[in-house]
Amino acid sequence: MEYLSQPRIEEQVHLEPDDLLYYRYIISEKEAQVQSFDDQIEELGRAHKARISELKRQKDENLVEISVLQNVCAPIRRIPLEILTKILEFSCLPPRDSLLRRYDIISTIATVSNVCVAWKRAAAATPKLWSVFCFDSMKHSNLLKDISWAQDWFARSGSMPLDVHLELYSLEFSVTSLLECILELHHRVRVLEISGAIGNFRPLLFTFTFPFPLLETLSICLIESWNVAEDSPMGYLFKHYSSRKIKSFLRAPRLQQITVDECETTTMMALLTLPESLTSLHWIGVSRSDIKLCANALGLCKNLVKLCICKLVSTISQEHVE
Amino acid sequence: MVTLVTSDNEKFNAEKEVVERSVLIKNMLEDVGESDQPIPLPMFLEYCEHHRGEPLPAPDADTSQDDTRKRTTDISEWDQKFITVDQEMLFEIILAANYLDIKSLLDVGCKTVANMIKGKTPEEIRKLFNIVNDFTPRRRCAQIKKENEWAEDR
Repeated sequence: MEYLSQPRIEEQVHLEPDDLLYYRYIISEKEAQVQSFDDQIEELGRAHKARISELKRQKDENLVEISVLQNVCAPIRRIPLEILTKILEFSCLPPRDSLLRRYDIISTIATVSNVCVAWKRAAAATPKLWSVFCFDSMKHSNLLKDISWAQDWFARSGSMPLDVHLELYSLEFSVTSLLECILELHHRVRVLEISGAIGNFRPLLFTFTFPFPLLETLSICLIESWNVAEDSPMGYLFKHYSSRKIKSFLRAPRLQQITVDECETTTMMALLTLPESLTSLHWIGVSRSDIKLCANALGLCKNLVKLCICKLVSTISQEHVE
Repeated sequence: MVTLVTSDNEKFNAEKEVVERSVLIKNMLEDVGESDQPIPLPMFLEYCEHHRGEPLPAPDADTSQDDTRKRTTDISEWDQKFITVDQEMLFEIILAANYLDIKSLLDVGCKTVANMIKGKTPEEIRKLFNIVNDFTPRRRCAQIKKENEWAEDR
């Protein structure tokens, strides 16, 4: 028994058999107690776990209620639909002077439409939002697989005049489908900005015969269809058609402003038949030979009051014809 | 001079030229003619005073087709300071401008909210304005998928 009071056992232990029995009995008693403590701890843990999960559930319920109430009390919910519409227009429509063909209106409208049901409905019911169409085929190549979304887009624009800004570099036939979808609405196009590979715009530039009664502004910045072998279908079409004059904009009685950016070796202006109604021409990246080539065509524009010519190299020379 | 009365019965005297920036008040004054009767009014005098003398927008300015092309969210420095208020007040001003038919003030308010929205994700917009995502779970899944699709191409 004296061993139990010793802080450290440093010598051999001598125990009587009865002592040994007694100690073993004590050990088993204590082990039973430890087991009982473990059981109690586990039971309490289980009870607490249940209690904790119940508290968490109640907390989540309250959080949902709070957000629902905050949603109801949110100042933005107090504004009528016509103001929400106005806000959406301000936040989605591009500023006037931005490079619109690169403006990602698709993602911008998708963002506000994904906020909540009310905003989605408000956006869908605002034709002005859908009357501007900016598409960059590099940025949104995944949207070219199926262009039914574009048809929905234009359907939402109601009967509003359309401002169309296209940057089509990817050489795929689906690009042509998108362009054809837009050309079906030729009678509503007010602004047309086209940029990219000339082959993509073949249906518009070389075969299109319908009028553009509302077209006021046209901007062209096209390059030859690079990476297209001449014996490929697209290369053949380009070679075949590019020798023709572009007369697509002759039946655009309101067309007054044209911007042509000669970003390639081909002189776009030499291909373009200018409408008589033209009053303002902005010609960018022009070489001396371009001017000689197009002098006659410019002479036919009797209503031209502003001609701005920017040379090929950075030096800019401006001429105004009164 | 015209006497304006706020909803808590505070009276303000203002010149006719100033308060007539509100189309509603302008019409009211025209309808009732010269009168000593006060006009009830929320607070907007400071704005009208600052913009006194500026030409009023044409009545059909908002419906003009050209509107789409002229849209800009730029706000003048003074207006920016004027509209730097908490959300509660911002929407009060918008509602008041709408009620009083002060187009320029309504535009300033709407542009401010639009600028708050710009560049944010739907979730960030919800958080900013305390809006609950009330799309059905199915639609939410489609939404996430679509959002990722947009993102992939960026």
